[in-house]
Amino acid sequence: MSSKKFEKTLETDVVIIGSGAGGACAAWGIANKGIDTLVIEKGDWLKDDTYDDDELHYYILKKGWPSIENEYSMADLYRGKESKERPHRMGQSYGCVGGGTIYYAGVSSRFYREDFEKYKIWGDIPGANLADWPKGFYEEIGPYYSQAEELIGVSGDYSNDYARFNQLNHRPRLLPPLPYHKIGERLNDAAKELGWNPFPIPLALNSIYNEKTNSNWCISSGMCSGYPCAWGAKNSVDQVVLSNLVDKPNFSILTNTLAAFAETDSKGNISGVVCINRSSKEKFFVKAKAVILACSGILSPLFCLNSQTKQHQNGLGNSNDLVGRNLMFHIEGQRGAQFDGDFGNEEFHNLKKVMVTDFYIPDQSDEFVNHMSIQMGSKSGPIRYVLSKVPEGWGRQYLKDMHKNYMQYHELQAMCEDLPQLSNRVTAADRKDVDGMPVAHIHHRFHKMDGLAFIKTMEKMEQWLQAGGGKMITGISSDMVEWKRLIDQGEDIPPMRRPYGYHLMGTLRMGDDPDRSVVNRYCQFHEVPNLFCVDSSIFPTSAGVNPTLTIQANALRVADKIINLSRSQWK
Amino acid sequence: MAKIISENKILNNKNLIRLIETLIPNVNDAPSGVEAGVQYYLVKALNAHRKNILPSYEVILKSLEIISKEFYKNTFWKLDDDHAEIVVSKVQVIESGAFESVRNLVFEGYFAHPRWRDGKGKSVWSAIGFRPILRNQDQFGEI
Ligand SMILES: Cc1cc2nc3c(=O)[nH]c(=O)nc-3n(C[C@H](O)[C@H](O)[C@H](O)COP(=O)(O)OP(=O)(O)OC[C@H]3O[C@@H](n4cnc5c(N)ncnc54)[C@H](O)[C@@H]3O)c2cc1C
Ligand code: SF4
Repeated sequence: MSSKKFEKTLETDVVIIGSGAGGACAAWGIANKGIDTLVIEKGDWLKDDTYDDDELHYYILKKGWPSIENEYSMADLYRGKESKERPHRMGQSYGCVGGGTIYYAGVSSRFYREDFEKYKIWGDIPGANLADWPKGFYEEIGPYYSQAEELIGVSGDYSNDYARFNQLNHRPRLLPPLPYHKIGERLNDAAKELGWNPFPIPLALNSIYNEKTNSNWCISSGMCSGYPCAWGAKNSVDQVVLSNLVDKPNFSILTNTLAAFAETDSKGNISGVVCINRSSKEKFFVKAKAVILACSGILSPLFCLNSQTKQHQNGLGNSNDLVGRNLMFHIEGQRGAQFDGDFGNEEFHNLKKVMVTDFYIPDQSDEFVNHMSIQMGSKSGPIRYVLSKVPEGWGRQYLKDMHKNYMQYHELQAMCEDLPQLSNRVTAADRKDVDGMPVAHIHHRFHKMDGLAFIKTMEKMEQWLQAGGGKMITGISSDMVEWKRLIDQGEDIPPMRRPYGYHLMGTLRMGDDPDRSVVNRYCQFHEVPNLFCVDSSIFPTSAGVNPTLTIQANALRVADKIINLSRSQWK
Repeated sequence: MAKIISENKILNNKNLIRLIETLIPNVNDAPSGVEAGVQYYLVKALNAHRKNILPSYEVILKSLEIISKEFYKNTFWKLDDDHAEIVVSKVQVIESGAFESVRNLVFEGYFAHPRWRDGKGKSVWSAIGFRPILRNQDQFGEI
């Protein structure tokens, strides 16, 4: 297809597709150096007055969330067969300016050194496709972690994270940690009694008034994970990054615009991107010197697969058929308990306060190689509490108990690494989305080691809850009982019955070897030199903590590289 | 578009109002389900995102009346609190699936943002110690 077909053509130096965690930080790094930068975002700016603690709207009816049916199709792989296609909670991302950071919980952990050397440490694992991050990556990303922490506004304190603190090669630049409140103190003490080293979760929420962004401090209000912050204390990238760029003459953002596919020139370089205005359905062409993908770990590979040109007949950068493979999600899960005691009417609903990483690296007795951490979880809103935690009952006594129990119910959250596997992948489906483009088809099954690591994490969570005085512990799902049985019998584990995956990683693997990876150490496509990716698609492995700070730090790193390129090649 | 179930049919259904009041009576300082305006939520929900529950809703209302007449020779809404609770317990056993759907719907409405209940139910959340941030705080008063 040729750009001559379009009546409207725009021209810029750098096009960034997606305005979420990665896209916004790349835009920051590039536009601040005076380079013409255009961000294309398929969603809109969220209006402030739509922010509200409305559990039904945001969390249950998922009104703020994209329609998964429109974006994805899903097939679970189990015992070599694909189950019936069904819409799935796995693989969600949000379609709005700021992407997932508007709705995220803000956990902003750095990865450990060991996370970057997975293959070097563990070697070949049957069924998995482990890899190292490019050599020296940990050293290289250090200063960018600090830069990202400062740009975004991360609160926390790593000094008690004994393993990480000793290896930090670049000092964190953090706001003070958020207060623990009573339940946080209780679990902090309990972890210490167990001989663990609890520390405050690094959070992209302001612990104090943030002068730089003129934004509120977090009051640990009601709903945080899954909701925009009505108080303005969550440091989502629309607030702290993009809103500071919009007045720059060399920066612009086109919202409500889908980047549908790319066109390439005779050398196989990208000449530009075909876009669709999602209201008028008008198609137009954006000519660019470089294109940066930041659509998320599922939609970036989809863009490549949907871009089949004469020079890239299998999709962009996909001659080795690696685009879309090695999809990872993390295994997340909650366990909760009732705690005796008066927690008063404290404002402590956002309980993302304390975490432990003491068993982050597996020990000799473990039959898995996955990394893991445990965090205090956010409290579910009252509707989910009453429907899922205390689902039976009604009437006087029930309500009396419910009123008391809600304040005394607290949860922990597991963050467990899942291993990359070639068969876990994103392909382009036959079905089309509302804009006429093929939706992503997701093939996914957890590795046996993922199951074993998850079971251990859940056991550790029980230990922690019990040490804190927790009773009536919830959250050992029937999935795990079944998994344990199957693993004992040497069988594959089936898909989780109610899985969810908010961390989308691995599908455009970074590496030095063009035969075994899609992008190089600067996230530049081996086969398309003016195409880059700055979301978590490039992660060779997923680590046992949340990905967003690493996405942001890496995007700032790649932006610097692109600036250097632009100086040598574009002028 | 015509409503699937009319507002009148819900708001003026005395057996429904009695059911809501039995499931969520007034305890501690919290409003009852009816005081919180759960019935207004039902008008919205049964005509939209919860329309699939309508058959269960109808089954439950029918069963309440049948059991009530069978045991107490009286229409359900006229029963005293203790008898109403007994009838609801029996319906819960006989129509367990449908009952669960309706029970969940009623609790969902009770704890939903007040805008789903036409602004009623201001003190529902504070009764359980939940303190969310609302944009239009004035509209909903002290919650
Ligand atoms: C409820 C929830 C809680 C979370 N909590 C945490 C947490 O505590 N810590 C953490 O690290 N992570 C968390 N995450 C995950 C976090 O949100 C993501 O890791 C992060 O946002 C990913 O950044 P990204 O730049 O890759 O993609 P996104 O932030 O998803 O941004 C991608 C953007 O690209 C746009 N886009 C996609 N395709 C196109 C296209 N073709 N054309 C134009 N635009 C396009 C999308 O609309 C979107 O705005 C959470 C996620 C959820 C859902
Ligand atoms: S917990 Fe803090 S950051 Fe999260 S929504 Fe509440 S005030 Fe905002």
